[in-house]
Amino acid sequence: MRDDLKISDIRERHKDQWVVVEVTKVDKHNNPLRGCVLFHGEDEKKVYSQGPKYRQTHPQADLFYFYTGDLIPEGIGVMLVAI
Amino acid sequence: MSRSNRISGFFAYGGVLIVPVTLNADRYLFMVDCGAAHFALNRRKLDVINAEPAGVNITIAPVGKSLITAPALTVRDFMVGAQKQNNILLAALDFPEALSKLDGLLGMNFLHNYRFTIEPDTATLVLREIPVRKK
Repeated sequence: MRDDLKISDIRERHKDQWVVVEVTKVDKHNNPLRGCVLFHGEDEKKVYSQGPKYRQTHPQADLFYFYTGDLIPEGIGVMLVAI
Repeated sequence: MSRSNRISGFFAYGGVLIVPVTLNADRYLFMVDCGAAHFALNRRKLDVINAEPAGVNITIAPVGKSLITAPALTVRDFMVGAQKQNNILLAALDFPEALSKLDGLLGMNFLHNYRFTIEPDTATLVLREIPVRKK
């Protein structure tokens, strides 16, 4: 049985890792609030590649892929544009 | 009063807003970028994100660099909060290594459909429907 956790708690529990989470609760604006961690680890490809396989057997699953650490390293000023 | 949708995000380094978006039923984290005309997807995510080649290219004018051309992809279902759009075009780009953990950019080809606001105190992107004007 997987723990049903707040998204913020998932960030703390699996710090600086890639995670695939099955969302279990959203608010009225469809923001993810809680979920169960299906896969996690430090290897992005290894973790993320598990998601599509899981979906094959759980087609209705609400999957959330994210990195729990800093998305933008300290000191990097982002100026990206796609025109 | 127009209906609004509040998308809870968080600020990354430098004060840029990151919000969850849904591409073909899967959620990822995109940076809100009202300086970008198009969505952009980090090419590293193509193995996971289910997007189909659109058969056209998008020309990109990155700051400080010369023009580059990127293949456009089509995402069948795209959602931000509860706001859904279909058949969105996005550019698959090589993000700098330092930004490899970022999944993509949420550009104006989505945002222009709304009156949008970034709330600095709550790290929230607010999307309001644009009222139809009576002639």
